[in-house]
Amino acid sequence: MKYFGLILASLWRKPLRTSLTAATLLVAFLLFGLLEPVSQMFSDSSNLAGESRLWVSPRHSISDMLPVRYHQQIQQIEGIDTAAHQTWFGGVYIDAISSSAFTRWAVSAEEFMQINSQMVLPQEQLNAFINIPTAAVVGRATAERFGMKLGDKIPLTADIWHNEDGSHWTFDLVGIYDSAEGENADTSRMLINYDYFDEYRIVGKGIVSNVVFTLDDVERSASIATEIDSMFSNSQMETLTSTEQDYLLNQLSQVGNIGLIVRAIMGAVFFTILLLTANTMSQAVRERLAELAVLKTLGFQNQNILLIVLAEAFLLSLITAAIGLGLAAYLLQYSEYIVPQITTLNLGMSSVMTGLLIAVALSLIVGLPPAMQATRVNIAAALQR
Amino acid sequence: MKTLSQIIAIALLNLRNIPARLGASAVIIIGIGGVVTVLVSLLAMARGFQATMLGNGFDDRVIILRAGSNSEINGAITFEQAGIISNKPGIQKSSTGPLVAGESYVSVNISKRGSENPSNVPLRGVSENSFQVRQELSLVAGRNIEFGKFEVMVGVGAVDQFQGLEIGSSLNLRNTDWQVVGIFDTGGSIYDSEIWTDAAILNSVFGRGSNYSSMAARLSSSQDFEQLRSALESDPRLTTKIQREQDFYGTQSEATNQLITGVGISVSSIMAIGAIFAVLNTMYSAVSVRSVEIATLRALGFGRVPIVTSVIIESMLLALIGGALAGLLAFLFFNGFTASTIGTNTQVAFEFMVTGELIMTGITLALVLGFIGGLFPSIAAARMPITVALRAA
Repeated sequence: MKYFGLILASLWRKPLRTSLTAATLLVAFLLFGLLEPVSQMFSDSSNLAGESRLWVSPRHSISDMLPVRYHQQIQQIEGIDTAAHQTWFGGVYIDAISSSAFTRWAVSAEEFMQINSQMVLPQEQLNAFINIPTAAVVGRATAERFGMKLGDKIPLTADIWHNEDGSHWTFDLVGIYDSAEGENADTSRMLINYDYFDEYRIVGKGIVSNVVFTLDDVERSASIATEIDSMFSNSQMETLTSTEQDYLLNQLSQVGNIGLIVRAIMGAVFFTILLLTANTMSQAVRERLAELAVLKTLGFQNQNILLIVLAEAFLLSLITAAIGLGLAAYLLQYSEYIVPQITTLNLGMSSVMTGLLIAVALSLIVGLPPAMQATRVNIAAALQR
Repeated sequence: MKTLSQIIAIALLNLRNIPARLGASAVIIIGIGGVVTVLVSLLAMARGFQATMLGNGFDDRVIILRAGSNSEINGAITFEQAGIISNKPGIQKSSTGPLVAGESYVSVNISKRGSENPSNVPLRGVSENSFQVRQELSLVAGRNIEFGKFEVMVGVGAVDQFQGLEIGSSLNLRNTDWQVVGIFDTGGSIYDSEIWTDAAILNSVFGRGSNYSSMAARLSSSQDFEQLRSALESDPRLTTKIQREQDFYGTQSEATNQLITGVGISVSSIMAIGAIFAVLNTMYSAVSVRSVEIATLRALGFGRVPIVTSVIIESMLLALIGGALAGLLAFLFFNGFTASTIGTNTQVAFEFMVTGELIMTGITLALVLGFIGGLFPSIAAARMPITVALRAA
């Protein structure tokens, strides 16, 4: 520790070079901090135990749908608290770009709002949603984005569910929900009443996309999931019960092996950065060989020299890692704008630790060769230069 | 003229002593090469996906869907409407009647190779005419399906990407076994990702009733599109929309394409910033090592402009080498690399395409980065007071 001043001074010997090296490292750790949570999300193994909210979906295909009676049958299973159902409405709001900003679902309003207790709606708005057939509610984010106000008529053009008028549906906005999980949670969805929707759609009456339910006892989630799937196993429409996150992740992971692509990019980034920094570090040491020789003349042991040079690399990469990861954590707050269906990406403790470990490894790899070179310096030869 | 000859003189001097600064020069080559590799590979992925979606470019082929449907999965055309559509003008006639095929389309869950998670693979129920409508289809192995049997034939892309689709294997869908009897190739179009079976069988097993999802037709000639469209639109018994096949798949590929391109551009932009810092670093130290040299040149009467230009030339040349190597690497490793991703609703198998144009994009980026990285150090070099620099020696 007593050499701290010396380390700082040698780091700051060429401020421009150190700043530029630091900036390169910072960019590398920023990219790592942004990409690691994505890769993490895809490698998290699923675990039903302890999940209080589960989804029942058609087992064989996303183009299949469940008979609505499954909802009542599931509701009656012992151990299930509340069951609701939801149906993908799709449709077009204004144009394709606006439509992709939020999803639209027809739901069994009362049970659905009970299950999704994180969606907070004032009592009178909730009553209006349940009691008015043409009612719709949207999340705060969507309402703000499109300037929707209570009492507005929201027109949707159907792409799947046509009604007797053709493809035009109009809903009355009676509620805007907030999220109990804080500002970063997803408040984009639009919900409409299933009963009204089912009455007026001209094909496919009586079928829904998913049944969603909560449990009395979260410890029983795995056994209840099995019970449901076996209950419908020989019927026309077999089911698959999973967590909401697993269901959405599987849809998303179909984009490709995202985890692998992300890791390949990170590999390319760090390989590049490694070579860049290694070069700068050894250059910095080479330039100072005479100074290091002076230190040795003053009685510094080889191991001290080694540690001083290594400490420089450590300091530089740890500081930049900390700033880079911090910046990434800040930017990740806005990740919901990129992938709205997924719970917000977070830079978890394990990712931070991985990042710091990489920083340590990086500083060893780039610091050790020049540090070794420094210890081997021949005093007389170095001073003569 | 004098400036030009000075630039050439100094640039050659600089370039000749690059071997003496190999490590530092490699930093630029590798740093920029890394950025360009990532950019070109991701763009090659987007390009390959788009090429597959746009297909083989037959502009005489159309897809007819129910009005309001954006994809075949949401489509519904009754057998009765299908009969009406077949008799409309503009559709090419063959010895067996008009070249129009009613098709049913569902997505089924099959795992990718090396994965346990199910993917949405398209299963297309075809009619006898489907083969004539898609004239580019050729059989690679096995035979065509027999109608009325639980048989499927599989596109080359699907066999490559998904489990258990080889000839002779049996596929269990909806508690029914289907035999894989053939493998077909349509020359890299989206149909290569599909599994084909008899539409009538598909409809009965999947409970689709008396509906097709879509109809595919061949026009007598490309110009007959408007004729067929107005004939369909003016018929009160029909609520359909007609699109050229290319337009239909082109619209579907847009979102995925934008996503991949967007990710590619954002990641490489961030990397590019890092690379610029590295280039700056190298060039600043290259300039500072040569400060005496530069001051001497200035004292001999060389102007500032040649000094600035020669430094930029050096960094751009190194960047060019990095960019070109990266383009070559991307081409060697990724051109023709097969992958599959999700289209609008179902999986699409495609090949990465590292085109000359993409490599040029990468090299352009490399040159821009080299220019920025060389600019500031070169200005610093030119500004250095001659006397100070000489005295430092």
